[in-house]
Amino acid sequence: MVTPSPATPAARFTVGDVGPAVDGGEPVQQILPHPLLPPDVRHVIRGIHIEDYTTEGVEEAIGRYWQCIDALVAEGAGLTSLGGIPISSQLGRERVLALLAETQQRTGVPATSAAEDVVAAFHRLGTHRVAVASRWAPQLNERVAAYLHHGGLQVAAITSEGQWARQAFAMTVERGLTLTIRLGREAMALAPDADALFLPGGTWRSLAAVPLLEEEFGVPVVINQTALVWRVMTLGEAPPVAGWGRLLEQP
Amino acid sequence: MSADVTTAFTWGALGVAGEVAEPHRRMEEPLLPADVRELALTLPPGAPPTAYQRTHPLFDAVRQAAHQGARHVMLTSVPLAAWWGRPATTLALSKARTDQQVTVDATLEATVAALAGLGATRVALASPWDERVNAPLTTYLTHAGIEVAATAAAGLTPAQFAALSIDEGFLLAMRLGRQAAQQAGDAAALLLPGRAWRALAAAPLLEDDLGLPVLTDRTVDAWRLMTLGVAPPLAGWGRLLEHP
Repeated sequence: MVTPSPATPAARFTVGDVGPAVDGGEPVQQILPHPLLPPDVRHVIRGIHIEDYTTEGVEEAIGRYWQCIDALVAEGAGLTSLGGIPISSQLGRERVLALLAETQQRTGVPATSAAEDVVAAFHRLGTHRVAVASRWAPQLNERVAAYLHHGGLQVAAITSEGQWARQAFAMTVERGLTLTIRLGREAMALAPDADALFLPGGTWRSLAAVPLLEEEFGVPVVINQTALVWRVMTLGEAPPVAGWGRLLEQP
Repeated sequence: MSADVTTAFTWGALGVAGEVAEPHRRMEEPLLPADVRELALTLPPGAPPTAYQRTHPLFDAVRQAAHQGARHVMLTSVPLAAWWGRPATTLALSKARTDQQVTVDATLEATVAALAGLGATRVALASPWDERVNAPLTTYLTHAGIEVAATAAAGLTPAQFAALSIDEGFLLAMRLGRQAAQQAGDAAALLLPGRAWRALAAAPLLEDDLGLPVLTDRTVDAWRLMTLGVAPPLAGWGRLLEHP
């Protein structure tokens, strides 16, 4: 899947994303998306067709990682990214770092992941004690927290809605939007001294929650989408963007 | 609706072409049972004052909906009803009912009825539109005995509104909703009209924050069908639907 539409200018730069879902499906974040990247930066997604975020599900799906990477590089990706915080979390940070290093060596283009972008973004913001507004099941949350901890971040609190992949992919837009605010507030109530808030996951339209929750709590809020866009900005391929959180205003 | 669900009731949603981008219907929260079928119909696009001075396109559309099995038709475009004005809208709805033996209503007229049911006569209005819509909308509500205590508006044309991303729309609904309620002070309800900004998601959040009933076009449409006995009460999307 390629966004934005074919009517946009020829791509100057292509971001190649290995996403959890199926090619040709419509991830909820691709419905009327808000453009954070310039029109000449393409965002191409190849799905690894994950069945679930369990250890077994991730192991099975990650077997398709290389064919996704090869396809993305063939499409001109100037950056590849392994999407899905649960995927990286289940793999563990050491394995993800090794995978990204191997990807970069093999393709010759920079390789990153949603989880690594988030870790780097929090460090860039000078934040270390993070409240996590998670909707995932407790077992998955443990893996997310372990990943962030390995990345030098302290998880001050983490919420749960008990979701696995099936529930995450089936959420309506309205349920996702409402949940971003409610869980963001719950996480900050659990850890009022957190110096940042993280809303992991790509299937719940969390972008609007970033400015709303930043205004409410006065701490930076990071989501997968802004972390990836920030990564592209750090490569010099996109300018700062105002209105969608402090990470993108001063990358 | 899933193909293997038998339809128990069909209603026609009569909008204006181009007013809502098609993706706004994707992954939408269902407020009605799976056996209630929505038949989407559109009137041609246009702009006031010329294109919509006449209400007769309504009759053709209601006739078409009735022939396709609809037993209830809602004129879902708030701007269109506002431009027609309340006297012309209510007259047209009344004539259409007589003509086709189906119940015919408008989202804006149902909003008036819902506010009456809530005992709310003073409202805050969070509008995505500019004055071309807001002024006649306020006149419409005033004609119905509802005082618009404050309006917070984004000043968009209907075309600009339809082009918002989901993220922009939700952010706008949250911000304007709060702003309108704060400006109004003691309003008894908050209105978030318009279908291109996923206002439904903002409704329960703003109700929690403001302590007011929040009415969106989609909740009003569902409420009207609930009052017809077509759908049961629903929790989680505002008090109007919890106690119809």
